[in-house]
Amino acid sequence: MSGLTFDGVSAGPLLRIDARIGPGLTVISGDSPTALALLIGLMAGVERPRLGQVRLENADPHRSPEERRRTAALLAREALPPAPTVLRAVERVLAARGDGGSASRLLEASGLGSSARRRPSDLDPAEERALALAVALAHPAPRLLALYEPFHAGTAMTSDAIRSEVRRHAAAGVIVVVAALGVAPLRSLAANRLDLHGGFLGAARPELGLFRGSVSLRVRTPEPKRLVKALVDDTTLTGVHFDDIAAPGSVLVFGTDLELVAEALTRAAEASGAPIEGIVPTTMPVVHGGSPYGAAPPTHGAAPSPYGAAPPTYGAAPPPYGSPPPAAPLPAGPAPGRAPDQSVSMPTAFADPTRPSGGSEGR
Amino acid sequence: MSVVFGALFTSDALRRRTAWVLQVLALAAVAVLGVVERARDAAYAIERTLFGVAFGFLAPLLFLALFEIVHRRERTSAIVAPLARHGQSRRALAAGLLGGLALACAAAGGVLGFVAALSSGSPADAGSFRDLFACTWGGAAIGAAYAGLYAVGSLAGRWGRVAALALDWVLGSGAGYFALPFPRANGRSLLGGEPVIDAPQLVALAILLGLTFAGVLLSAFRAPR
Repeated sequence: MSGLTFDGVSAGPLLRIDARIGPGLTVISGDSPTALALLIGLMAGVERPRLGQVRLENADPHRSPEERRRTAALLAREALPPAPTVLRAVERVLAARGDGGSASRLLEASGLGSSARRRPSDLDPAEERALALAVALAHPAPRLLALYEPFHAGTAMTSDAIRSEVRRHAAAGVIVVVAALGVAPLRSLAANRLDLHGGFLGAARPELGLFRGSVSLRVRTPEPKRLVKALVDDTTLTGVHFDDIAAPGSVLVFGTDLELVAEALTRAAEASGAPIEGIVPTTMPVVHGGSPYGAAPPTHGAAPSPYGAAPPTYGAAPPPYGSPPPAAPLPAGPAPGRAPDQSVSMPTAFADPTRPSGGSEGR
Repeated sequence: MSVVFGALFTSDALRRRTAWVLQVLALAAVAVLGVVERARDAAYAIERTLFGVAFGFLAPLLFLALFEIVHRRERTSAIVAPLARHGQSRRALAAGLLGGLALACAAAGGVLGFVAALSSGSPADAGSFRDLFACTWGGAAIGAAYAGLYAVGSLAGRWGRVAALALDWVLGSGAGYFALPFPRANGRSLLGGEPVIDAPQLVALAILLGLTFAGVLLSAFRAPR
């Protein structure tokens, strides 16, 4: 199986991650810097999972120097190899990965041209990350480019220049993964979107039957059905849930960014004419089946994967879950004794499975 | 290639002024105390210098200091990690780094043995040249064996190395079975002191060489590729 695969990976705060990331750009937003940093470390082969396997092109990057040579990464904490000077350290890094590029040019690109003669241990963490970003983006032929918070690397490169480089690699068929806290820095990157929340990597793919996102709000309104009808077409949300028996006056709204969710609610309220009486944040990282209102407790980690035997695919490779969407993992199915139309669960992208989910560029 | 990178780490670190200053201070101390021992009583002055200040006290500390200069309190795996992530084998990097340290410790031990024999031996003694030669290569073997011991200790970082030194100090001072895997006991036996479990010097030499290779390889191959 090609691409980058996570097969039941648990490590630190990461819990049973099953995923496949194909070539192209994938952005991962999350609420935990530790979890995001660890995820990028696993991809780069720097960290080893406690359980499960990470594979890049069928090889474990932690155990395969060949795969690590084709991986360019920006970690949360960077360190140069021991060397008398920064310039020599960068030369060694380039030589280690078989890159004939110029170390001086990389130092200039990262704004550290004047630091060439300093000792590597004299660089501060921000300078080390700036240099590591320049080294990663300059990889001549990466198979994987994994970047943790590249827009906060303290580099001389502008955000636009970083985006441009990221897009260039993605267009060349490289597996590009950009991880950041929140989605604000990632908005202008058209990409497949994943969300790392509560230790679970999932998606902004509600048709999988998952409600995942860093933001979940309970909205009180006397006209919930009208509000839901207006919300289901909003692609900035990852899910909408309404149960007119368990919580007749409430709608649960899920997204990855508070600002985007608030904007979506405003638009929906204006379009539908449904007044919003109150908004309360809720805590609901993952729900596999059952009602998120509490009729059935949400299950974490130990729950069987809704993906079945094969992990979900993100990236340019065709997703295995096209139309029609899977029926089994849909949350909040009608409870026994309840009329089928009394419970409405409408993840936003579910309304049109052919529509790309989560992309926000141009909106 | 990775082995060369690992050896370069060692070479760069040991070229720092601290490493040279420590070695010069150790040599100066051995030379002065060797002269003092010879002046006090020429008989057995070489033995007292070798087993006392040179390989009994200063050499283990000097070799530990060389390891600390290269490892900077860390495990070997932490030192090689920044280059391993760019496509080099951790095992080969560690083997190069520890192999370089074994060579450095052997060289330092050889010079220490030479200076100890030179300063405490009598120039009029017919066997003085032979003593110089024996102390030099014997010191080199002891230095390399300490490198093997500290390489194993480096799996656990600084405290592992300090624990290895303490065990060598406590258990290696004897001559029984517990002393068998320690450079102090076998080094003493090799240089003509009390043998370990009454084994000949050749066995002591074999154990010292075995410690060197086993320690370096065990430490290197404990790392994933």
